[in-house]
Order: sequence, then structure tokens, then C-alpha cells
Amino acid sequence: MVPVQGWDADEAVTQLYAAHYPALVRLASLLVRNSGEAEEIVQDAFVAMHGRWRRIREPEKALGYLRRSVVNGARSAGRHHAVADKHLHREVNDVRRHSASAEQHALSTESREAVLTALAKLPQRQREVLVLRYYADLSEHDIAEALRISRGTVKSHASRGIQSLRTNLEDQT
Amino acid sequence: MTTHDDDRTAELLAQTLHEEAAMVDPDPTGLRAIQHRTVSRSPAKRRWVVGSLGTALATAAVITAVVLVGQAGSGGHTPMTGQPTAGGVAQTGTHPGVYDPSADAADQFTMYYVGPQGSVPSPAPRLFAEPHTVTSVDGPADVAAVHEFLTSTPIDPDYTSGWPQGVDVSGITSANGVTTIALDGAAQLAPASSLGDHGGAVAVQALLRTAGLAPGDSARFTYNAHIVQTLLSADVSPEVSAVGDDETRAWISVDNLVEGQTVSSPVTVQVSGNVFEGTVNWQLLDATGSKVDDGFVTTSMGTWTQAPIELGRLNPGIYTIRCLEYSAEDGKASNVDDKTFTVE
Repeated sequence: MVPVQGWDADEAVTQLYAAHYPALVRLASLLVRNSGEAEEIVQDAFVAMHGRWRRIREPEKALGYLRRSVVNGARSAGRHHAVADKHLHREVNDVRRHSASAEQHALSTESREAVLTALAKLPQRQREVLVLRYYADLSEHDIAEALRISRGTVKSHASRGIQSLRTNLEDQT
Repeated sequence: MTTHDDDRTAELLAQTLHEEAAMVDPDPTGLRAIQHRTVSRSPAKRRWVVGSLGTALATAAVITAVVLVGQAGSGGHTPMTGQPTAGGVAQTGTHPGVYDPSADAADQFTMYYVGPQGSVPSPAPRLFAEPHTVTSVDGPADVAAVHEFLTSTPIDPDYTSGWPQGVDVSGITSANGVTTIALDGAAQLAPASSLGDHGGAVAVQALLRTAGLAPGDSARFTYNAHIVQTLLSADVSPEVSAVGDDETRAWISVDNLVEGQTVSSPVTVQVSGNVFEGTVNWQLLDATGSKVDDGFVTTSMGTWTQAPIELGRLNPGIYTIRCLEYSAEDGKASNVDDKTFTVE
């Protein structure tokens, strides 16, 4: 990737968008389960980064800033549950329609929905840690930076989150 | 302690998350949406706001918190809203449009523009209403309105008339139930390319509505004294009728704010919507583009209903209210109308 040193704010947006926008939208989508809202959250993050570009002292950590903004945006998006629930219902139906024709998926729609439902029941912080760990493949250090918590807390949330997820899945069956 | 079962659960979770994420198809216009918001905070845009609305508001003795655009229209016709359009037309009129809410009612005219061209352009052009103040009107009001429409720049940069520069109106007459609109100019009446295949027809509708024609009213056009068969690639022969709201009006529109307007707290924004389940989402952004607040209001589906967005007391500064809906098909933002305003 091109070094970010020397970019102005506009160039930083363009370069980081090209490299990371789809992955960040997918990350946000997993956190809020609404692709439209996920796009808004990620765009907000880029706009905020643009406005603060001069104050981001370590521009090579811009991606960390974006991830942190996305997690924070997804968290605050939970304030409007009525809207989110409506879209969730719609998107779940969309997912089911897509899944029905996607034979390459190793997991059945039911299995995937079961996991996602069990995941949704976890405390917010555990859910965030698991998504960052098992979707974004972040290290404990990067998760700690994105969530602004200690590495020990990351480890604890990850461990308890997996145990709770397994329990929730067993309860469903 | 990590158990074998936990490892299997972790593998299942990872696979689920990756498969779920793979179904998300990010909007390819995302960069444009971001750049629209970052550019809107640039000094160039701020200068433009001061240069257009600032001029109008400087003449206003009192700046009110919320000015009802619907009461500012000319000829008694209620300003309706139009709808978003494909973007990219940089309209350059001979003078900037101006709106002064304190001006005499006789000097207030409602323009109908094609839009928006901004962050989330619509695949189908629609019409938005925008009030303009025109002082020293000389001649009939309908001619003055169309003259303003053809020669000024929209106050909201997300809008365009869709007409080329260099065209003006020389007269409007009515006989036997048909209105004849005489246009003059040296411009080629080709459609603005960025408005799409049907953009020319919508731009013609914008002019008809600005001239005060109601849905169903018929008009014919002349250009440099010759009857024209097509305008902006739209068939207008032998006559063209003004069409109804269902075919032209914006699905979502901010009704009581003009781009760049200065208001007082508390602020209430009126938004009209005709959208899926009537839900219009809104976001309030500050001068840095960061989200200050958001929410939704319920309008209607199948017809247009206005709903208030109570923003309450806001600290002095520059804000943008952004109204939109999330597509029922793919969850993406659509039918966006936004207005930047200043709280004094």
C-alpha cells in the first residue's frame, strides 16, 4: 500500500477508501446488521477522518482511527431500534432469498441465522470483540486499540464471548 | 480455559461472519458521497453560501427561525417538491439565485429544479421546489418566473434547471386552453447529459411548473420564433402537458429551509415524504460533517405528507440536515435531500 505520509486530507480519503471501504462496510454491517446504515456509519468515519487529518499525529494509524470510528458509530446506531429492527427484518429476508440460490455456501441459512441470533444475544462489548477477532482477523493489540480497552480485557471478552455463544447455540437446539 | 467445543464454536462463528459479510455489496458511489460532504465544508462552498444567500439575508431586517417556503410561492401555487436526479451538471446562470424571506410576497417566485445531483444521485430525475426572490419585476409574473429559472443559478448546488445557459423567455400567452411559451437564445437545446435519458423531459416539466402550469395543462414552445418539435431531446410536439406529482415530485424534500439560510433556535425542519412505510430518516451534521443527531419521522406511502423534525435548541454554528430513506430493496440510502444552514 502507498505510504500515507504526505497525503493531504482529500488524498487520504481517496486512498483509504480504495483500500478499506468495502471491508469497513462489511464490518459495520455485521455490527448493526443493516447494510444501508453500515454505509452511513463508514462514510461518517471517513468524513470525520478528513476533518481531523491534520490532528491524526500518526497517519499510518488512520485505519485504526477508521475502525474505532466505525465501532463507535455502530454502537450509537443502536439508539434507533425501531428503524433498525425494521431493516433487520427486511435484510434477513433478503439474506434468505440470496442464500437460497447460493449453493456454494457451506453453511445452511438456518445455521448461519442461528449463529447470528446467538451472537446478537451477547453483551455489546463481547459481540464487538468477536466480530473484530473472527471477521476482521485483528490481533488483540489492534482490537484493544479499536475498542480502547486493555489487551487483557480483550482476551477476557473473547473467551467469555465464545463460551456464551456456544451456550446460546446449545439453548437454541 | 479454551475447550475443543469452544474452538469449534469459534470456527463456526468465523465462517458465519465471513459468509454473511460476503453478501454485503458496498455502494460504488460511496466515495462520491464522502467527497460531497467533505467538499461541502471547504472554503469555496462557504464563500458560495455567503455570496448567494448571504446577500439575500443581509437585506432582511429580521431573520426568522423557520421560514415556510410553502408560503413564499408566486401565483398562489403551492411549492411542491420534486425528486432526485442523476448528477454532475454544474449550472452556471448569469446571476446567483437569492431568497429573502422578508421580501414582499410579490417578489417571491418558486423555481422547480431537477435534483439532487449531490452525494446520492437518483437514477430517475425528479423535481424540487426552491423559492427565489426577484426584485424589480418588470412584466407578467409567469414570464418573470421563467426568466429567473433560465438565467439564475439554483441556490442549492444539488439542483439544476437542466437547461443550457443562453436561453431566455420572451413571452407567455394563452389561447384556446393552450399556453405558448416563446423562448429565445443561441444555445443548442440539447439535454444536460448527466440527467440521463429522461432528464430532458423532466427539465421541460420543471419549466412548465415554474411557469405556473398545473398538472394537465398543455403548452407549446417556440424557439427563436419557430415552433419546436423537441426540446432537450424531449418530444413536445404538438403540445406537452404538465404531469402530476406522481411522475415528477421528489419523494423526500426539505420544505422550509433554503440552502445557506440563517435561522434561530429552536429549529424545526419540515420534511415531505412519500416513501416506503412513510419512514423518512434524518441526520443532523455539524460544520465538520460529524453527526450531531439523527432519527426518523413518519410521513406517508402513496401520497405526500409533511412531518416536523424537531431539532430543538442548537448552539450557534453551521449545520446540515440530511433527509433520506433506506432502500427497501438493498438497504442503501436513497432519495436524499439535504440543506446546510446557520444557527445564529
